[in-house]
Amino acid sequence: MNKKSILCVALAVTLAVPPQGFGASHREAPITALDHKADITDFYAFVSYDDPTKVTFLLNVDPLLEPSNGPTYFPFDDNIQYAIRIDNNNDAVEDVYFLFQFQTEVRAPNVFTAAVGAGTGINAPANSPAPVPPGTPIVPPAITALDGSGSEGLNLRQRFTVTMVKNGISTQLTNQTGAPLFAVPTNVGLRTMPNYPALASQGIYNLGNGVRVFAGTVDDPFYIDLGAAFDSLNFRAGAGGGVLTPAQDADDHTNTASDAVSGFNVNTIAIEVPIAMLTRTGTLAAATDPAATIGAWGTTARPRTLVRRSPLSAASSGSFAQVQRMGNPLINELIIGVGYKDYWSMTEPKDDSQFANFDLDPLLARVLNAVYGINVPPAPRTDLLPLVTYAPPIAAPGTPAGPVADLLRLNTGVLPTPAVSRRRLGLLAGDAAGFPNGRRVSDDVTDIAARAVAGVLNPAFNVAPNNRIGDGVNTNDMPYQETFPYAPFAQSGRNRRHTDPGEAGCTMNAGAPCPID
Amino acid sequence: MSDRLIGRSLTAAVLCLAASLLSAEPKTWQTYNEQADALCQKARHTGDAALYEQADAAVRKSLALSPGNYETRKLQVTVLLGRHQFQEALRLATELNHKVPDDIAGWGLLVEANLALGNDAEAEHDAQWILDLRPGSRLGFLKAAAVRERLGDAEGAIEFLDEAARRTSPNDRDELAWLEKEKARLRKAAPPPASEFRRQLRRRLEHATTDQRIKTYETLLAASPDNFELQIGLVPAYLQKLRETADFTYLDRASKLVDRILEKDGGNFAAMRFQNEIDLERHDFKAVAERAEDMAKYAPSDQGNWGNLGDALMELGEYERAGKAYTRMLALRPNLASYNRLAYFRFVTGDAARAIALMTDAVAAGDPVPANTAWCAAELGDMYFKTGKLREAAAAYREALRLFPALHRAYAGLGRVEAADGKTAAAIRNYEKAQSIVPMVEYAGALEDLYRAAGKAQKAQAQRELIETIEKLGQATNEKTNRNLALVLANHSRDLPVALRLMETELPIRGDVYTWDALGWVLFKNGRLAEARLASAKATRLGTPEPEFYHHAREIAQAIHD
Repeated sequence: MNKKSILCVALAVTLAVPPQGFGASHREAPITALDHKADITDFYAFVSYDDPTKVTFLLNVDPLLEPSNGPTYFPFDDNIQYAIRIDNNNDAVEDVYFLFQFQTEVRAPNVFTAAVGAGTGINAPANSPAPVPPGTPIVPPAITALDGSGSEGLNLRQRFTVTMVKNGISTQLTNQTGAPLFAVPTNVGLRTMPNYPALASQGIYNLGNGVRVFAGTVDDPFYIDLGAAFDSLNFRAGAGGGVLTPAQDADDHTNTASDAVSGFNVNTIAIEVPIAMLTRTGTLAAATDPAATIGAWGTTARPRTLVRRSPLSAASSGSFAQVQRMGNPLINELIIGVGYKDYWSMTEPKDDSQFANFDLDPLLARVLNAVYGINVPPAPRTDLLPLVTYAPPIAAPGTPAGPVADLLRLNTGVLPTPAVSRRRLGLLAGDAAGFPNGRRVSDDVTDIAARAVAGVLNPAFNVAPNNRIGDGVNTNDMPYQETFPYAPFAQSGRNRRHTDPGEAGCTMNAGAPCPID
Repeated sequence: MSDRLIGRSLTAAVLCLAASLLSAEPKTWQTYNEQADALCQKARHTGDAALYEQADAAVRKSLALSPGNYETRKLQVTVLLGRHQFQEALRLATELNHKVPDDIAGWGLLVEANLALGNDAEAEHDAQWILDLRPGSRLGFLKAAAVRERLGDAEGAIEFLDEAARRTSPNDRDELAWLEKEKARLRKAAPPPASEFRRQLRRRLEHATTDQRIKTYETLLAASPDNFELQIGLVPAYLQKLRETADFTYLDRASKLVDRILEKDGGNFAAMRFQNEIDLERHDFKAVAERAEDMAKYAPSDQGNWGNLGDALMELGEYERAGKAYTRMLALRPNLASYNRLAYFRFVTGDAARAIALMTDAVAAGDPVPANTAWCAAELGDMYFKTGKLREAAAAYREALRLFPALHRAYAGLGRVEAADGKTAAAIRNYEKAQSIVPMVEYAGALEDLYRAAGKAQKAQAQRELIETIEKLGQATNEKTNRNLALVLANHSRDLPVALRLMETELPIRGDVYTWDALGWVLFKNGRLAEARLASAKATRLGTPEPEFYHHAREIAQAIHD
């Protein structure tokens, strides 16, 4: 049983629809509770820190990967079509999209684990029982490469392809060196992978025209006190009980509650693309230009079984059926009712007006009002429209709003905020490059989303306690990278540590115990 | 479960248990629901409709205890279906589906209600949702089997019933027995042995020419006139023959056959798609665009439908939407059909280089029917010709003729190349060959000019008379539009009011750049210069690399200047 139980009964009886969580998306819809490989946990889009002419997208899938969980670990699913889609003309229909598909190879079918290796390799010793003579290679050398020499111990390996579709033209993007693209395996441990960062870095590929890609297991960059959130918003008193003190709120590097996602990995597909390839003008655009704002979302899809067979054909399957989508980290979790989550997951953003009643009167706002007694804006919540349409403060004034649609909207004309000035609360803290203007790995979408639902986008409601709602988890357990792919490399299977309530680790580096109550 | 229940069927056991619960404890809405559910199952297995009346009574009692209960209302729909109150069942099922769209049982009730009411397209859409929401679900296979049976695909229905059986508990003997009964019924109804029949037919048709395909299907259909698969196989053969010969009697034959299918099965998707292809030939572009757009909503994975939608939108001049439709088509399957359409789209929207690359891909992808690959090769030839690459154009036309020697437009293409090269005699020979296969009016127009250039006045006059005959035939058959004829008349400065009338009727039907160019040229020749300039501007706005567009624009501009 994992830690993410779904709320039921008590809260459901009183409120009709139990809240499913905050922020990102871990098994939020029934269909992905059954199909975790297709479950999108998070979707990120932001202007690259080290190159403001490019955007980085991260599509994270397959939640809460326990790093030690061998022997097969966490391959991507060969049967899933992963996609990152971008709308650049405000109609919530993709104009450019990238498709990713994986193919698994088992290189040593008789070996019982996906990855094995040690030092320079270990041969059969003198007392090796027959019929294996002494000196026969038994354990391959430690894994130091994804291919060729040093990769012998990588038994289960995945290649992947990247296809870009733009203006009706489908182009396979290939490695500039001509070599295949390999997914980076998880970090098994120091003996098997003595220099994991170096190994993982080999999985960053140049695809030409300024495009880079990485796919593999990484540390889950998301952070939240998941248990408290799902325990009917039972946030810890030691962390402010759901309302942070000014001092707690101002400190972006200290956790006053334990991060339930600490110590877990996730699979990521990261791609960095020149902005000029994404905008409708084919060029960079200033932040004040309507063409600068794009809308993006990720999808997973599986081959579908068709009701109708083609005439005279024996085939009964073909094309892909979408399993899940994610744009904004807020919508399916906090807003969409339980009876609609799968249906929502399988529809397209351009048809989201059918869910507008959820968007404009979110039940969670009423929950916050009931549980905390705070004042929330009355319905219809037009203050939330910038999250579901192209509108200021993200898009420039005069940008066509487009239909109500769950997209992660990113103004590519806003330059990245330097690390020293970067704020976890993003736009709410005056950091123009942060969520909901796109989403960076370090943005505290839990607190931002909760505050947005509580009404802080409406100046009249941007007051305490609305603007200090938080779970007490303000930062990730692992430091982020300042360069592509930005998520920390995978945590070690041998030495990973989950920081739980009552254990040390609630302040970065200080080691104070995390509160239980 | 008590010993008394051992050895009984599962449904009987559940009925017994429900009854004993009702008598043994305070009555709850749950126990009434269990009773109603068991009664409905038994009614389904035994065909005893009276059991639905008992189920109805249980449902009413349940609702009295728990008004508006979602689970009970679903049972209410089942009872309504059993009592043949289909409209009410559909109304309630729709309401429940809107309430909880994630519930596949709700979708299942919609499928049943829609099938009962003959709403086959809706039923297919709803069944597809079940298969998408819960891939591999037993309910999905059951409902999809029912839809396949309605579509006349008995073999496909049996395939899905087998899948449902694999997902049925071995303890549920009643259900398994019912599934076997259904399969037996379908096997009896299906043309025996369906799969062998299909295999043999496929072998016969593997390398068949279009004429052979038509003959095979017509012969088989004469013996089995109601065989849906034969009907649906003959329609595309007729349409292919039309494409190869421009003989519109084949369009009529295809149309009659499609009408027959749709009369029996109004929601037959394949027939609806062929209807769209027929209507494209009849230039009913608006209707095709509307229907295809609708069909795309419940069959988004049908590549052919996206193609039809894109084709209609291209003719209407709605290029952005057409491009998106073609993009979907390509994403579903990169093949000759999708490559060549995207190539056309790129060409019209001013990107000749990409258009040529895509059309090259189309030819490389090829088609099992050589005439279709040849057609694409000829299109490629046209693209090369219009961008000034005469040698490449000639090579493409020759390749087209190698693939399909009766391709008239390839001969015409070679004629055009030779005329551009100053080789009048060779050009005439090729145009004559093209005309001998299909006497298109534009071939007559070209030959009239070529004969005059060669000093063969009599032959030129014969071509002129042929054009006049075509014109008169059009009037006799009440033909309202003929863009090619209008252009030929305008080029020769003859019967200009006729040309104008033809174009004025064409414009509401077709809003593409070719129509605007033809209209502009005809207006110019009729002395309406300002309107001509406006129309010509609309033709050239996308930068389509059609030399004639810019020639016309220059002439108009010069006349206005003068």
